Amino acid sequence: MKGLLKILPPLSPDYAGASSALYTLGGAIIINGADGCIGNVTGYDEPRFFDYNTHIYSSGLREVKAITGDEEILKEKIDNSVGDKDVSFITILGTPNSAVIASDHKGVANILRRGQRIPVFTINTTGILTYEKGASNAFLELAKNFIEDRPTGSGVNIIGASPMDYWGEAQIKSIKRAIENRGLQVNGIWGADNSLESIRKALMSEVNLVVSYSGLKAARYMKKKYGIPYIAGVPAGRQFSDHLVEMLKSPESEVPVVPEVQPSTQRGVKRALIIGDQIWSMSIKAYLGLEKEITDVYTASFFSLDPVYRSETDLIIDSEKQLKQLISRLKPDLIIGDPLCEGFIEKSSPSSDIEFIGIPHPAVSSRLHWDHDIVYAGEELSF
Amino acid sequence: MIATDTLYSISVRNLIQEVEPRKYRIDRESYPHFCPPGAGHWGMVKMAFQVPEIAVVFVIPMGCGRHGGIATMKEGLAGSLSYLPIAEVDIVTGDHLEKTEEALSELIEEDSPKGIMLFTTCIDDLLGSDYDSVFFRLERKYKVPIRRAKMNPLMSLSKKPPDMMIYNSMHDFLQNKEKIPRLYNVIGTPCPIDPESEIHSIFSNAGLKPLQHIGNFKTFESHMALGHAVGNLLIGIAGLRAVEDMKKKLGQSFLPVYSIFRPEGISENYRLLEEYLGVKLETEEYQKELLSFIDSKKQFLEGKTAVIGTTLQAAPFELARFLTELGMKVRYITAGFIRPYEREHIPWLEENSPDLKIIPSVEPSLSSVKEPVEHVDYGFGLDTPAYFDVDYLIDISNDDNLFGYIGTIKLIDKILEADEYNMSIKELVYSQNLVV
Repeated sequence: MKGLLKILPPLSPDYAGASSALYTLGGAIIINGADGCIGNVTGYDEPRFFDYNTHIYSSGLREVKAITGDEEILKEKIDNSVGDKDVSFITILGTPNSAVIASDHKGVANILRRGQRIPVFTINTTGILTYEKGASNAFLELAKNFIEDRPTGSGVNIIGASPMDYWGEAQIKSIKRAIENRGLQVNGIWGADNSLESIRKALMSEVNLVVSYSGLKAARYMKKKYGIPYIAGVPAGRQFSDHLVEMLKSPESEVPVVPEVQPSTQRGVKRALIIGDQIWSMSIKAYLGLEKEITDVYTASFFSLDPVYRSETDLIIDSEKQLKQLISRLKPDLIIGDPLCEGFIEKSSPSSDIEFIGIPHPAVSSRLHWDHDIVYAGEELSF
Repeated sequence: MIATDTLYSISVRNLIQEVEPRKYRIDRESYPHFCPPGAGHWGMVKMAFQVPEIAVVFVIPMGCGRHGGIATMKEGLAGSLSYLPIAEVDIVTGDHLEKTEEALSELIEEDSPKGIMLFTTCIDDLLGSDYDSVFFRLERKYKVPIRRAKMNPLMSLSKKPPDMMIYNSMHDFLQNKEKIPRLYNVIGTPCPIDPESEIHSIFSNAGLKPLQHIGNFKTFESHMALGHAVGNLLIGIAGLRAVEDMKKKLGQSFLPVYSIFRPEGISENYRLLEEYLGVKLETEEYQKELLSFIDSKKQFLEGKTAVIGTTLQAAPFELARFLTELGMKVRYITAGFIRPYEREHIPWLEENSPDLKIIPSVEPSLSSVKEPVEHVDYGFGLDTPAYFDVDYLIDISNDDNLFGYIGTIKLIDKILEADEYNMSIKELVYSQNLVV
């Protein structure tokens, strides 16, 4: 993001995204920074903090150690804290401080690996980029470190389902129900499952469903290394859920092909703008077309867009000013996005009658809105 | 109940021996830090907004400032708050300085703030970013004062930790004004002293002017009155660097008279104040009132168990001694540091409360605690229900800012009148909106 953020808070950083992907898997998560970084994660980017005892620590980096580049102390701290604990892995995440002083996390991990019987891996985060980058790399590391070679079975893995994208418990249940009602078994949900088992057994599924940008990297790795195909999309509404599950059953293309529908002006809506994660937005766009007959739909995101799934109506927002201008230029009748995005409507077009549907995106609005009961996936969308 | 050996703690009997070599830091040196639920405080944004009518701007990597931003939105704080995210390339090229100048220019032109407090983070300390020349150009062009503040936990163990330096920044807009005799400021707590504290009438009866605190002022111009004071009463140690700085820049002397609860300590504070102010303070009536109040209430507190946490606007070891003197049994204190003025209480606690244990505030073994460590009658501090089964929760918040004899009476009242605690820790933390 460029320019001043006056409406939005700072967005969830990459190390929080990585932590979110790993949080409930029984590992030790070490955030190499001063203590403010861990406070951001546990207080504002991890809805499960009060429900799970996860060994998530800050290295407590301080000025002398930072300036002198003393990495021995990091190893010592990890040894001291993790040595007596039953953890399934150790991971080191970087922060702005460790990025500036170029901490050698891989070197520390290599030394730690010699004394440990569990995987030790690093995730290249800096705290300067946004959450989806960290989550992508975390899911990839899970795939690299834990997938066990097993004979292929049936069913589907859901990849990229961490709470930082929209995927709290209610949404996950809804997605799972939409898939299983259509005859496919869900074997594992990466980002939401509470153990590494579903990752270890990932090859027992015949296909992966990627539900957010964060899951793409791991799915691509699995396709390349193990030949397991994937489809990106979120079951959203009955028709698109039908369509998506059909594609999962015979995955020939990574991109869901949405049947063309005739433009309509139902509910008086002519043009819609969806602001959110790319894969979710793409799916809601399909839902709007198939079930609401709204076909003039733009999507926009504060976060990364994968070129494979991007069309000319999918836009990256790199500043608040740009989003204001976009709304002013597109003049949408309907905006769907995080509740904080409503602030842009008031600022850019106070007299307009834009309909706004607030869909909390925890990577944007954090705990301000994450305890909500809106269903925005599956067959029973509440909008 | 968990096996308490899972949780690391230090017996009060070994405390000095263990922490003295590490300069009275309780947190263990070669261990990482856990972030316990419930720990936190006002946060930098709320502190900064004590300066009226200024704009607060953070120049940050995305990973910093999210906590303050969300907490500010949650609380609905009025004020101009904005964030300027830094990209990786800016850090390498130093372009963040240029972008800061552009952003501040735009902000001044659009919002016309009376002043700007610009927060930088740890990485600017590492990079040695030179904001002074940016401020110089902008101040010359727009005639708007700009001051730098630092949200840099990297410096937490230095002589200029962020929790202290925020007070310097809050008072940095002041100018060296003509001094008004008998006018004093209160420094070191985010809020003014409780208006019901006896200190206000004691000052008035002694012919002193009403105490000033930055939180009393509604406009930027009016807060400049703080510069007219002849001296500062340092009631919270967090303000120490600020009063030292104000002594140099504004010519204001200062006296440490920290907020405490023991009657003997309060009396000693007033004695020191008499010496410093050069006037006789009529305190006897209030002292008698407190002692008599304690006598009448002590029986209700005898034998009650308590734990002390980290969110209190109080010195935990002094509070532990006071509660023990009331007949309570303090089982645990969670703290990161022993303040200099509290060290005298450790030998007393060692002798009179030998079973007391101290848990380091960021102790990593806290992440293994799955069930309450112990049942206690009272938890002092919003973080205590995270690890203890508390019947009653007592908060001594920044907003209370208890001080003097009446402060102690109010504390005892809080204990006696506390409602039963029946929230989840999540509900509690979210409702209090503390910033880690």
